[in-house]
Amino acid sequence: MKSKYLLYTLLMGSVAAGTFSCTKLNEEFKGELGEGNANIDPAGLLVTAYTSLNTPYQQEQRWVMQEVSTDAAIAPTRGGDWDDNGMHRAIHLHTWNADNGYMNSTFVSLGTAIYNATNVLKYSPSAQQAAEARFIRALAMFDMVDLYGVVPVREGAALEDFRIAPEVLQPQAAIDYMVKDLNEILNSLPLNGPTAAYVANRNAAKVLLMKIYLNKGAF
Amino acid sequence: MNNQYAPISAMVGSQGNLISQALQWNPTRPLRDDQGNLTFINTSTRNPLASIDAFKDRSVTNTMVVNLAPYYKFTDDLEYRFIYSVMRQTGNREGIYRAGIIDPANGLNDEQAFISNNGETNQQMTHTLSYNKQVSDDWNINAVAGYEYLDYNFNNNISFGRGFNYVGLDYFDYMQYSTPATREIASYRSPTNQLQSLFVRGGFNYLSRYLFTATARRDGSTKFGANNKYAIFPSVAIAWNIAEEAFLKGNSHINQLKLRLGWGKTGNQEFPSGASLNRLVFGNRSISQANYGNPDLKWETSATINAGIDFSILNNRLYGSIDYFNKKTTDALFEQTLAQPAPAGRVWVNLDGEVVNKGVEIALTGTIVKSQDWTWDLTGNVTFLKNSVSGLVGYYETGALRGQGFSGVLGQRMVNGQPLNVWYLAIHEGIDPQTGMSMYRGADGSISSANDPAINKFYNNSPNPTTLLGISTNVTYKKFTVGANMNGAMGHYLFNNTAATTLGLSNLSLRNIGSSFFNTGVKESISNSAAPSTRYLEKGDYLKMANLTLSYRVGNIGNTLKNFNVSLTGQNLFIITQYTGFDPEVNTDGATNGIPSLGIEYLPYPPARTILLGVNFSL
Repeated sequence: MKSKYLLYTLLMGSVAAGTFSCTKLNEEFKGELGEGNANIDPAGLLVTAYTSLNTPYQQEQRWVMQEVSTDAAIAPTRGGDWDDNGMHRAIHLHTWNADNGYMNSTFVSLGTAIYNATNVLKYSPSAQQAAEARFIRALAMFDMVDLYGVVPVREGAALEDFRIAPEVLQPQAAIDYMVKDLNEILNSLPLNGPTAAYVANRNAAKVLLMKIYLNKGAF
Repeated sequence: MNNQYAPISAMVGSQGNLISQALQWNPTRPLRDDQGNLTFINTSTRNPLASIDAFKDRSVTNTMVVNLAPYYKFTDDLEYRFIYSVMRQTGNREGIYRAGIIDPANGLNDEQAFISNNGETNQQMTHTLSYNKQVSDDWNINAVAGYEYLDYNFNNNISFGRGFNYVGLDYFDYMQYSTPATREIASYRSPTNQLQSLFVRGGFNYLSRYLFTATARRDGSTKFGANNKYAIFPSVAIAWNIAEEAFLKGNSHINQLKLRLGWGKTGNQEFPSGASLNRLVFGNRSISQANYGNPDLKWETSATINAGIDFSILNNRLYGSIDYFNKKTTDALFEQTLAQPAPAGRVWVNLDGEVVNKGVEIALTGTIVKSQDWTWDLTGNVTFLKNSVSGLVGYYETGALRGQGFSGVLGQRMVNGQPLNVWYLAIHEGIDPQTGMSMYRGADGSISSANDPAINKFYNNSPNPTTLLGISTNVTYKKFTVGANMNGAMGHYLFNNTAATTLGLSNLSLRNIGSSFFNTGVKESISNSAAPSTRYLEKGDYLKMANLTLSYRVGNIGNTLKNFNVSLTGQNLFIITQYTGFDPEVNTDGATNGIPSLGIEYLPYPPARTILLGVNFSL
């Protein structure tokens, strides 16, 4: 009887031990991808770069920074509503400090758009995909310089490792960077009449170049 | 387990949830008109009964647990034990939103439905070998060695569609009728999440007076980078049974006296899997990088020192213990902001600073009356505690406060030299009798309604209690027993967000206001905006009667029913507090950027008072 129990317990233990024990503790993704995966399609990353433009180019971000900070628009309180801890008032009166929600979220969302566009270039995109990504990056950089006066850029080692600080471009360096990028991609972008309304084309790049030249003196 | 959900979430916009709609409803206006139909005002002032009708949300959860724990004794001293346990839980949730009831002009043909499923499988396997031997008359030694493995798995999926119009059926039973362009589907499976540990424990007992125990465990987790998967956590404890010593043995006053000292380290790895790796996630035909990987992520460690005394006096009629503890957490796992450009703007790191929690705990139990018919015993425990954080660079904001006029407002900070989640609010100094507007204190010390509360903020108190209290007592007379349990907390401050944005004077004239705003000494202007200020920061001190039970022991009834017991229990019977919200034991989720919040009340469902009548018997 005693040996039967021993046999039974050891058998169960060894079966279970054989199946589960002593793992190497490797973390594997099931519904997501790790960076080393060879199947990452740059087209999917390009869609992300386009959709990341949705966030900053909205009422709650770039529009407020551009318009409410001038006399073109105000955001008054309506009784107990719309005071919002003085968030809008601070933009209009130019009394914002580091914890103002608009300042912070617009900076983060433009920065994320720049990052997502740069990320497309890491995964062997086609010439047109790379050109579209660089256009998106130049667009976000333009608004970053326009609103904040400087642009941080991650390239090379800083793109791979978050502990390395990005390089902060001053206005002239940022203008040179954007103009060089836009001129290089002009021939790779579709001429006009793209298949989808949101796809960057040659005219869009030319208009952005125009905006940079017109605003050069103010940066 | 079946669940029905009501629209009482706090994550709502200006339309509020069921609680705010009920609080704001004009009490002179009937909820139903003469024909019995629900009164409709507009989409921003909603009839609470309409909200209940508009949402149908139900779920079924099935749980299965299997446990096996065989053991084998090699000799009298050596035993091998094997434990295997698995829990499998699946849930299915379906819901409908009847937009036509809330917005009859636009919503009748755009009603929505969703179906979602999730599943969870958790496994545990432990092998232990234990040795316990009385080596000689004076010495007893014991040792345990073991291996443990844990595995967690989670997956879910959801489908959603809109464009339905009401024909009397539940939309989630015919999802194919939804407008194709509005459909959303998504699914997810968690990455591998396993823990593996080896542990040993050894100790000796000399003369039953001197006890010593030491343990060490080496834990590994899949969540950490290749360099830091494993960490070692030791602990040591000694105890001295002073009452067994020659000079105290047989003492009539002191029956038991024991001194305990211990030190130990434990680890924490509670953060999402995948944070140590560069992770890309799928969206609608898109792939995006969700986070930067941090291969240096390692175990968060907490080191605790504790010292205590257990005693028993007066013939074991009064016994208790006093404990001092000091817990220091280093390498705290934290989501830190990241220099742009970056994916998402945050990354998980181990913080350089430390969080310290320390305090004293006192517990006493006494038998006050012990006679033939009567027994009365009373137990109380009180804990005094204090926490602080240091080593943070800058400050981190959390504590999302919500409601109209509070968009994007954060009321708490994590900052050096202050307790966790310290309140960072303007100081309200009353209403200005001339203008009816709120006056706030400025940084220069002035008090005026010209001081802008958004830029004159100060650190004010904390939502962490400094004292925790528990009292329980039992009185027995022959076959009757009365038992009561109370608990309380003191020293913390709560933010009554419900009063701030749902009940203010600016609700007039469409909505109802709170009674504290009515007929006040100084008249407040209805254009006075609510601001995150100390006006709504209230002391949360309370003592609650958690449960009170009366029971009567009938005994055996006939030959079948043995130990028959009848009991009447009341739960959450009353609470002694000055807090004006629903219940001071509240903690609405205001977490921001992954940092948890504490002590906010925003439109919670009020806790219920329950009366239960029960019988208990065995056959």
